[in-house]
Amino acid sequence: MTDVKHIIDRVVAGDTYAFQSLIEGHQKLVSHIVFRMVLNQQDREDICQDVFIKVYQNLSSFQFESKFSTWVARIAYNTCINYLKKKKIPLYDTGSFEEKSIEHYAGAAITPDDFAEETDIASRLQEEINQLPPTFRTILTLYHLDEVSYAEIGEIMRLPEGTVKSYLFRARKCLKERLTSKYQQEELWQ
Amino acid sequence: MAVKHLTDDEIQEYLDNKMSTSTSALAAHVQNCDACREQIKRYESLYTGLREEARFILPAGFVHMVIARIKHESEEAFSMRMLPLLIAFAGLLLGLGATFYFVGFEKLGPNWQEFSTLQKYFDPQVFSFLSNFISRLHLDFGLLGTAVFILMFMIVIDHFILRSKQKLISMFR
Repeated sequence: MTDVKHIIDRVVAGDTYAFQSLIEGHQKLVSHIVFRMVLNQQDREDICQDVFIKVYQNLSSFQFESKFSTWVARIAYNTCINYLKKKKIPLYDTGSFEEKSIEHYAGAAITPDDFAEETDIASRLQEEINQLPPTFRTILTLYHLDEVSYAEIGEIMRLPEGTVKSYLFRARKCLKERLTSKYQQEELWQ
Repeated sequence: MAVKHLTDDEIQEYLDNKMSTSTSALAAHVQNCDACREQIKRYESLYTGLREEARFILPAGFVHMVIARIKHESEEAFSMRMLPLLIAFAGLLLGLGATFYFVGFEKLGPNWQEFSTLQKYFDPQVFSFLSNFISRLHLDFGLLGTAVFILMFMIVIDHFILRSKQKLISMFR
């Protein structure tokens, strides 16, 4: 924290190049959030840049009331929210995606030809994750990729801790059921 | 008696290490229940998959691109603030200078004395006073209009220069 404070003081004093170390330390976190929430590849890099520009512009207002990474993640999340609102993409689909997972795939197990197109379980999983609402995707990413706690996720996304846990459990259950319904059991759960 | 299998939430609680009930009771059930063991195995595979990076890679040089953009926007913000002000001030001086030149400075002299009296500023009849003052100046409104036109022209030129500059910069970025 002392290092971050020292770097922030230097940046606020006018040392733009000191900001490089802040970018390097947090670009993974920002890219995880942006790449999960924004599915358009062409916009992702621009949005990541926008996030760090906003971090730079608002650095003097950061008062260490939370962790710096939490603050940066919140800016990334809010930037993505604004982007999705402009594109009129809903953040949260009230339950219909869960109903769809069973009905849509029941009795529609993948054929060997279809299976050949997606040989990588990681690709299959990414495909299914992309079907979830942006809010659920973000929580999955923050929890599993960035190892952020429920409480911190709640701070980033302005959600109660209980809601974060509920969404996380629902998202994982949905993914498990989709994958089980869609793909051959023995091929998937190795 | 029906077997009470673990729910999806209980399995996830267990895997997240947040289970509040005794893990030994859970372990005993799992040891004897194929169905629950299978479900736990599926969730464990899912967790493993969720921890993969999924190729979220930013291009090399991303950091330098951000720094370059910050510097560019800082320079632009400065020129956006200062240049229009300078142009507007120069235009105002030019307009006033042209007005006073063609009106004649000597005509303004006596009338200016009246303006300097503070009482006039708070007089409820200030507007009639202003009207009389302007009519005594025998202003050529055509010349005044020319001065205003020069000012507006300079503001428009400034606007187009800035826009062209922004377009050129974005082309080469």
